[in-house]
Amino acid sequence: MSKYRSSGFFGALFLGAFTRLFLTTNQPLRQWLQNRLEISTPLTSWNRVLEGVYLKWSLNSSSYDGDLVHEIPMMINIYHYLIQLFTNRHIIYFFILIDCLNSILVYTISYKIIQFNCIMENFNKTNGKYARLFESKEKKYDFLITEKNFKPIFWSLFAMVCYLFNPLNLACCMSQTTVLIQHFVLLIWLNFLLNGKIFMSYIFLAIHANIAVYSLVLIVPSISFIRQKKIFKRKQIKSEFNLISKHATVFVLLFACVFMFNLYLENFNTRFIDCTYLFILKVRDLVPNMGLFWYFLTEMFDHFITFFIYVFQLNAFLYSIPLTLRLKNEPLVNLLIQIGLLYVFKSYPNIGETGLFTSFLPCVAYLFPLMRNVLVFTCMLIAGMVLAPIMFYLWLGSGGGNANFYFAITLVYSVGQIFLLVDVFYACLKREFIKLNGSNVPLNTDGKPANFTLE
Amino acid sequence: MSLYKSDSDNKTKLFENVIKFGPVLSILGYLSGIVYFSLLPHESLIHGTYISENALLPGLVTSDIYSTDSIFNYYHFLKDAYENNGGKGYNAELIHDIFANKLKIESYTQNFNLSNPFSNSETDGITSGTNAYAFGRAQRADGTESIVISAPIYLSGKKKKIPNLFGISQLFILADLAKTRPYWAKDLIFVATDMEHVGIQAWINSYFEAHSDSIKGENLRARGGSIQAALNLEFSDINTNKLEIKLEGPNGKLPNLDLFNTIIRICKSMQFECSLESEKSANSDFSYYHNRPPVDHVSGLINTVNMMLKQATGVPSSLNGYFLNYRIEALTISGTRTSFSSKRSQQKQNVLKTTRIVESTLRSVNNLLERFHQSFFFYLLPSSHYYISIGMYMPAFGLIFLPVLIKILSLWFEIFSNKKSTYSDRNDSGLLILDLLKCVIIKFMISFLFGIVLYLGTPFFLMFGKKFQLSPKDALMNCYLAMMANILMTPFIFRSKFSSSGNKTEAENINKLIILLFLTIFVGTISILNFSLSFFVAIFYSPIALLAIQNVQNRLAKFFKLAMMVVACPIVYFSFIYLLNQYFFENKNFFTNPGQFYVSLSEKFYNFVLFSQISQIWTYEMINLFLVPIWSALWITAFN
Repeated sequence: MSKYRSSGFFGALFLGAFTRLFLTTNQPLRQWLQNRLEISTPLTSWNRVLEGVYLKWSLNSSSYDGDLVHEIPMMINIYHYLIQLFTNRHIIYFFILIDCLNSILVYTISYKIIQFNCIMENFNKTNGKYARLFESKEKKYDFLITEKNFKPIFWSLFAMVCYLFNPLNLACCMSQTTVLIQHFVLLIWLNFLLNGKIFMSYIFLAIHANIAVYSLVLIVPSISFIRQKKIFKRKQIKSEFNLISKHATVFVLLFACVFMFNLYLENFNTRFIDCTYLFILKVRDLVPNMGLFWYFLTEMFDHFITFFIYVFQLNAFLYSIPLTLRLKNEPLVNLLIQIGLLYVFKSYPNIGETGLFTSFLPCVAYLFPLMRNVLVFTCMLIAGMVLAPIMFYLWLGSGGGNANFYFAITLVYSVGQIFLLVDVFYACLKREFIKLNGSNVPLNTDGKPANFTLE
Repeated sequence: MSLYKSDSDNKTKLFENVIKFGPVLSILGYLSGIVYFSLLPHESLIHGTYISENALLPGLVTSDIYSTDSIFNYYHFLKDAYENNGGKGYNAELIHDIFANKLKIESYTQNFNLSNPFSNSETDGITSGTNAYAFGRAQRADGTESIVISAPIYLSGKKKKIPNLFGISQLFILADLAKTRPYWAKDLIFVATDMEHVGIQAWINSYFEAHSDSIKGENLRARGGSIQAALNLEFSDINTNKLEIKLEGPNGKLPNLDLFNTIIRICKSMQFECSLESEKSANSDFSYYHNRPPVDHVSGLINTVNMMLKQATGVPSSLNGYFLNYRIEALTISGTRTSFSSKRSQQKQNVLKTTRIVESTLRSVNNLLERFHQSFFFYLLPSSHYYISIGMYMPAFGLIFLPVLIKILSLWFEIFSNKKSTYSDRNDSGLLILDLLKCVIIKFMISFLFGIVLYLGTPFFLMFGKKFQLSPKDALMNCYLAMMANILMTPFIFRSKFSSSGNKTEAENINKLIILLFLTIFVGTISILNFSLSFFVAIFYSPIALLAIQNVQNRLAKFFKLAMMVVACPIVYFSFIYLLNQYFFENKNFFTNPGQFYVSLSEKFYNFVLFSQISQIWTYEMINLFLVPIWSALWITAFN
């Protein structure tokens, strides 16, 4: 536990908690944030949770009467106990607590990620995989990361600071969105996965996949990570197919268990399936948010909608396997990219999700010098975040603008995120190329230096 | 070429080009931006206004007002009430009485009070007033839509309040029409408001049940349908031969251009003179032989700048502005007199025409099938017949701000592409962060602290003022200036703290980059909400920011730089604009009398801050929260 023993860690944690506690005193700000559509999406709005709890325990009917509540029964039950424990007035302190726990998890996970990457590169180096890198003319001795030149303590602290002081995360915490609890589940999954407790990690992934259906695909990079870890511990993998099918079966069973548990909580009333899973997949609520779905589907003729929903939803699930195959040597970068991609392509994205995966970027800070479009996507993300409320106001507040104003900004924001992810991907591939082939620029058949492009 | 670098050769080439041509391009962009902007009202670039919404059909109806008798009756009745008993009889109760008992339409009064946000005691700063409002329900319609016609009971004059007798009289005429005519598709709501800006806000806030801290109005007892448009009538005198249209709403909002065009068209068809507020034109003779008067470049430019100055403050030019807060397109029609005509027949003609213009506008709006959504919401008006749309003026703004963007690009390349930095080793990343902490973060923390103090500090300033027995006006101005002096002194106090260890170019560059990014975000954001304000900020702060971050060795140049930075202090800069505005548009020469200017400025400043608090106008807060910190950071950077 020596890694926690730094004054920076406690300082950042304390300062983060203090900032949050200080912001709670600003009631109008909290009110405003709670009503923002970018934060309180149908899946994460706290007011909807209250509605669900009220329907179930005060009116003795199902939470899913009416079409407001889209949390799974399990979470509604948990929130009910939390509300009883904290009372609705003080529930914000629980959210602050969870946010601080999240930041600690971000710290430990980043630490693990960096450590794992360092050990993996060192392992490959000693195995002679990078021989050509050391033969190349232009040498750069600190190109391969080690714990000396890429200090895990420093960079994981940096990641934690990124999480704690990211305005997106602060906004989410102040608006009491349940996205924080989703993050918590996701981070526990990552933590267990990185610590090798695979079964536990699958339980949490199954819970998260029940809350937000899209995270089903995260099983693919997790299996890839487990495989890589096995290789690296010099265990023989007898059959890749066996490994994959074994893990996939366990996960599916766990997912089914969580689902059955939810069904049991609802007294085997299947209404909640329509309100949660299908609600996410069918994208019934077209209230504007920072995602890509609402505008297209509002503009579209009704008879095309089914087809386009299939096409759109396919995006979220499609990239998982190809990315995993391509990045099988960098399973952790793969994990981060896939989490990010999910957040871009999901139907009701929340800005806090961008906040979560961007705070993991310091773990791969060694890729930054190889990135191409840092200025572009930084500007796009900043413009998206700053202009979104303003364009929203111009559209629905002052009436000077129209829906296209807001849509343009959400498009900029989403494309900015995609640029960011693609740039991480590109830099990762380029780094892998250099590691394997050395830094000499290869020549094309016509004798000119080749270009490195992403195709 | 090395694979270790992120950039291909193309990008390196781009970088070299930016470094090479950047300065030339910046100067060229800035100058061409200004030239382009001043060419906007020119014949070749300007567009004539047109009615975009077909349903409006301006001027096609036959008026139902045939004589001026009843107008004069109401007018004289009100005038008598005003002149007897020292004006006490002329109030909302009287107007309510006429609506309810003479015209026999649904009418109510609303009491409200204003608590001065800057007064200390609870009871001390409260003033109260009464509004009257009446509903002319449309006989054959379902009452889902309505139009508001408002008139303040008193107008603010130079010395004392002027009764808006003619404006109120017109309400009665229109109420009579609303009651008797079958063609109304929308309810007419008549509002007579007390206490100028306060009464109308009290009424609108109560209508929409919005909460305001300082203005508390009674709940309204009846409502109409959704309000489509609002006209505000302001006539200081019954002898009017010209109408002036006031547009500017709070925080730079403007009503839909269609509504404005409609009135202009109707005035044209009635052959009545009509223009923008204090519009200048070369041929002041109104010629109705032309469908459109010829373009006059110089006066067009002056009118545009005049409009932008009014828009930039964020203060609505008249009471119509508060409707814009709730997406109701609204205009103020105010009557003025350009020449005195003693002929009674001429006067009667003018009264009849004025009333008919208002009636005809209402009938046009009555035709509307949907909300105002066509035409323009973002525009500048060089004259009443020509407009400059957002697509025309935004490029000028972009060109003026181009130097900052180029500088950001070149700074970015310098920081991240040149791999000759002191921090190239990853071991030193901790050192870089430490430098950043010292050099950048502390600077910004201090700068934003000043901003927050100014943002929250107004009541405290006034409290200090009371301790030293200053009038609130002086207290506010002096405290504000003292804060500015404080910012100016900061680099002396923290001089040693800001210098970083080791080679500091990298941290310095990042610092500059962040300041410029902040400026860009601020100006860009404001440009969408209040274009004029951001234009006046950009036109000055774009070169100033570049000057501030330039390293100069020459003593004289450094002195010049610092002097310019002092001028760039927001309050100094905006005072200067105010001075020019007074000189050119109000014909007050303060250059010869600085003492009087200071008095006038502090009064204006106090009123502005008070007004911002009451009417929720964010210009003052935005400048305090963002522009002052940016300036402060620039000043500290310029000093090192």
